[in-house]
Amino acid sequence: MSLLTEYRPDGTFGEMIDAGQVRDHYRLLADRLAQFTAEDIRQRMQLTESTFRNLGITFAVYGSEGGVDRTWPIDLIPRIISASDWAIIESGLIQRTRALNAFLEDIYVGEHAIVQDGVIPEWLIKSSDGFKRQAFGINVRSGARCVVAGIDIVRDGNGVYRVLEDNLRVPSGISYVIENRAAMKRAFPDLLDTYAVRSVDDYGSMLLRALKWQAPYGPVDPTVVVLTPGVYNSAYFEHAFLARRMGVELVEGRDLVVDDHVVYLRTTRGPQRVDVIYRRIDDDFLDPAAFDRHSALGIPGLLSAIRAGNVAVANPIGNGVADDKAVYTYVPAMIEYYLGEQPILPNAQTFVMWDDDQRSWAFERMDELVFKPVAEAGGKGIVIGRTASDEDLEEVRALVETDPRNYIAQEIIELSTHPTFTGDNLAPRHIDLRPFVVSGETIEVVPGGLTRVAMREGSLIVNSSQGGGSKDTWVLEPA
Amino acid sequence: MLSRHAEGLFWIGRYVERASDITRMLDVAYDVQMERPPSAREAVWRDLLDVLYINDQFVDHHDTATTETINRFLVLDGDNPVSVASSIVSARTNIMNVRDVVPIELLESINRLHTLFASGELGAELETNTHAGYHMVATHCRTISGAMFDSMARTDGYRFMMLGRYLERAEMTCRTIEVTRSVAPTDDAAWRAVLRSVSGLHAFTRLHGALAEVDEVVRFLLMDRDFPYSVLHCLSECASQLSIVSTTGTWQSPRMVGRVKAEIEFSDVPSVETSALAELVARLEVGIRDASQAFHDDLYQFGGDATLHSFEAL
Repeated sequence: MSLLTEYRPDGTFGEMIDAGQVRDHYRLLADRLAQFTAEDIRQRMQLTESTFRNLGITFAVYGSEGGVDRTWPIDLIPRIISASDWAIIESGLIQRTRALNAFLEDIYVGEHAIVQDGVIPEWLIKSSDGFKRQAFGINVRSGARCVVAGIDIVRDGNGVYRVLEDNLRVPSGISYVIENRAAMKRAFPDLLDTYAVRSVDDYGSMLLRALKWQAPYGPVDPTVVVLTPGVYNSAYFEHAFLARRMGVELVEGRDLVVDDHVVYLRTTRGPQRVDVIYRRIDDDFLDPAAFDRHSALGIPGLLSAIRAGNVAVANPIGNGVADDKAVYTYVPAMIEYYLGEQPILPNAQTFVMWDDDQRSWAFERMDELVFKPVAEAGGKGIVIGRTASDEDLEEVRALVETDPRNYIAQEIIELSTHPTFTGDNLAPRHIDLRPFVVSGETIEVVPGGLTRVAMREGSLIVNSSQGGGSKDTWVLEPA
Repeated sequence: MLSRHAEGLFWIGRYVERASDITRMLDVAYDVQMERPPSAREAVWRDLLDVLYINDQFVDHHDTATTETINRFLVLDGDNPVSVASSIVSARTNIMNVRDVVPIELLESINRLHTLFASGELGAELETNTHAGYHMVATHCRTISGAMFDSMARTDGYRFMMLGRYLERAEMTCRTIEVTRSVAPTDDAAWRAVLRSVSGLHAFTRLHGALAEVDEVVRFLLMDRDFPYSVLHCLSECASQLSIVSTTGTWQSPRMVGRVKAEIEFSDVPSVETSALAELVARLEVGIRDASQAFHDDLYQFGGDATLHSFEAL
């Protein structure tokens, strides 16, 4: 009996199978899966797990017992995106990133034209946690401010791709995209063979090109480093991975020193000048002299070096204002305002809680909505009305009422589902997609991205910190 | 190279060497005590604890030294900082901290050894077949060494790792000599066991024959130029690694290593039956420790401190 014989989609949009029919671009996969037993897949899962463990492909889960590292969870049934779908996604992502770059330029080095013209209220920008006065007047070469963006996309019940949120500060996940592909090659070489899948392997050079582009005074061969909070950070594997792929040093704050507004590495040969810092720590921890003076992670004097034009950090300071979830509601307006274009990828239907009408409307139908704090990441603080207890609903209602600026509500999107291995068979599980967009001289998108999957039946929570899994994501070459 | 990376690589070299050395000593002691009458077996284990300076800590946790308690304390006990398990955990912590500059083969081999401990597999093996358990660890350590030799470019990172490895080994050989000298200075069998614990019995016998005197063994362990566990050989390795790394030009550690190397290279080796040997070995141990400290100071001469380790004596 085939693994797919008993597969029953649950009424949402099925990525692979819809109304009993396998979609065209999945047909080869379905044929191959028909030849596998559950035991075949189990064996390959075990092989993959032990390889990940030996290679240290892990992520730390905060607050879990002893802070142990978990091996990266991958489901070996790949998600496939057709060339035509990808063309839409890719152009939509580039469009969106151009608008977000323009917005950030306007806010930090421009005239606030979007405010002057009444498109976005000034108070909303200034009240955002991610808005940093320290970033005023800091130039970024060619305005490429979203050097690395992770823009989360979901597919609603009609199969429409929608942007759920923008991550413009320190989005993570790209290393797992590449490792998932490597794992698939080991586990199912014969499966990959049957498709023409676009490679994800040259991200290291893509990123290094974009980072070198940021060197503030154009040295011939700028020194780039990756700045990590350290080995205990949940994304440390990725930080080391990116440093390796780019062939640059992975540094911690204590490896850097600022002298006379110039940043240096502490090396065995003495101080060595640094030109570009790809930082994977938040704004507030960058420089204890300029932000949180209690931070032990940062480099005192870094902000002065940036302002003096002696070093560039990527992503630049202050990007958080553009991925604030209340500001997110204005991104389609930004696209129209700055680019004069219609958004290719729509947002999810969103209600801002500072608006009295929208708030009271939302409170009347809490069970149809999901409530989110505007500045959190990793699924923190999210309350899904339908499944929340009465106490949770009461609590979030109180939170929203005390601080309406910092909450939004969204229609619950019934995320599309994808066949996923449960240990015994294939069952539908909800998925999303985090593609990665890199801005430098041009804007490029890594084909595919990280497909995250909610491993629990019916769950809509895909975050890996909350038990989500992942899938290799195949973008097909155009026929 | 980042100073922090240099330090991490140095300590990976030291910890892997420590795990490997202790395992080999355990294997030999296990073998030796089996040939002793039951009443004399505990003394063999006690001598090993003396080499590692941890007799006092052992007594705090266990009443008698048997194969079982020794394995628990010296191999598996993660709370004992000198156990093989602790060395492996420390090596792994350090490699995670420098994973961007080491080859994946090295990371993988250390992770595999770590898994052997963490999974409980080694503990089970030691209970059913102690010798096979030691052998597993030793084989893993050789795989790690192989990964160092075969997959690392001969750049400064490799040299710092070798520096750590040979400093650790020089210190271990010194201690083994010192303990054997104090408990069984003229016991042929005891010195043969020492040679075995540094994989040197065969090399020594080929060179000096099976009838050689104890003083010959001591001279071999201290100053044979070609034997990879002799103190002189180890310190020569350290000196040559340090002579080719790129530094600020103001480092002190090359001078310190040179000094302790000269101490052994140009001295007469005193007889085991005189106190002069004890004094020589003590001077060597101090010199080795000073060199290690000087290396650390060199790395951070421009301020900052990335210490992940304690510099306390083993």
